[in-house]
Amino acid sequence: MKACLAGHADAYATLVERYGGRVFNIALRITGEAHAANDCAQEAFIRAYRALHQYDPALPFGPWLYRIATNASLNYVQRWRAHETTVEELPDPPEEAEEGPEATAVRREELAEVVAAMAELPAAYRAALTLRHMQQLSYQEVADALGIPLGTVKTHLHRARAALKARLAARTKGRSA
Amino acid sequence: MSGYSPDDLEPAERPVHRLLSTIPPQPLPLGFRDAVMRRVMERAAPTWEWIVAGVLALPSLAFLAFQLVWHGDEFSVALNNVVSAAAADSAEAFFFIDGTTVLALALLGVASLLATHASVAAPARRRGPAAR
Repeated sequence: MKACLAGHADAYATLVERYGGRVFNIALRITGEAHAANDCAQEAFIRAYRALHQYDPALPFGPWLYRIATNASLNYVQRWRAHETTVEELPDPPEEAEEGPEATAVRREELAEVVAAMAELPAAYRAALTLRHMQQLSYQEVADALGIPLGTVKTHLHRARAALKARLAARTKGRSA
Repeated sequence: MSGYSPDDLEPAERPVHRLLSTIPPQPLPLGFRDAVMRRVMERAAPTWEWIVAGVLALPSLAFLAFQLVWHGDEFSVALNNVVSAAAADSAEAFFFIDGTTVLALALLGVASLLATHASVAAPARRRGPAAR
């Protein structure tokens, strides 16, 4: 980090490698498109690099970067209305080796349903859920990343969870009907 | 489940947390780091282009402004001569232009080209693959 702040561009490659996966997955869950997520994640790193002089080294780098990535992704969604997405192919979960093929198939289907239900939510809810439950951030970190007050984050998350449950229930009902 | 959870996770959040944290992360696209670093390096180019354009343009503009202030009457006479010659069938339009002014105009032209390149190239890179 010190090398980056000293202006060594090569040191930034290490940060890209370390945080790339998380930034890409945040962008992916918000935009719902792999190509858009790739673009937003790259844009987030470029913006972060240009704004490194504004970064306070006393604070953790991750939440600061996630905020940039979240903004880039939400801007993308706002500009291109990319919230209507198809469910992408999920990679194999790590426990797969211990499960039988049938259980694995059921599990993949369930996860695909969750991803699809999440993709139907408003972008702000998707962002809050992603940061909180998929990136494991605290309430305060989510608030910092989204640039909204702590109370609003809690309200957003409460409503997002309720909406997600409702969508999942509707999808399950629709499939069984 | 990933095994990690936020320290301030509330009991009411646990079911959804358990559900969402089982969604496996997608792998990073191949060549992601190199693409980012390439764009980081490319960003430096327009900055230099703007600096060089400024260095070329500002003295030229200052000189041309000076010329216009001190020899503006000659400029308007020369312009009138050219317009009159263009309106009539005559090919005799007299005007005088010194070498320094030509050099200043040439440098201004080069600066404009650099500035145009910097302003066109940077947004094209910024748009990235999704916009193409």
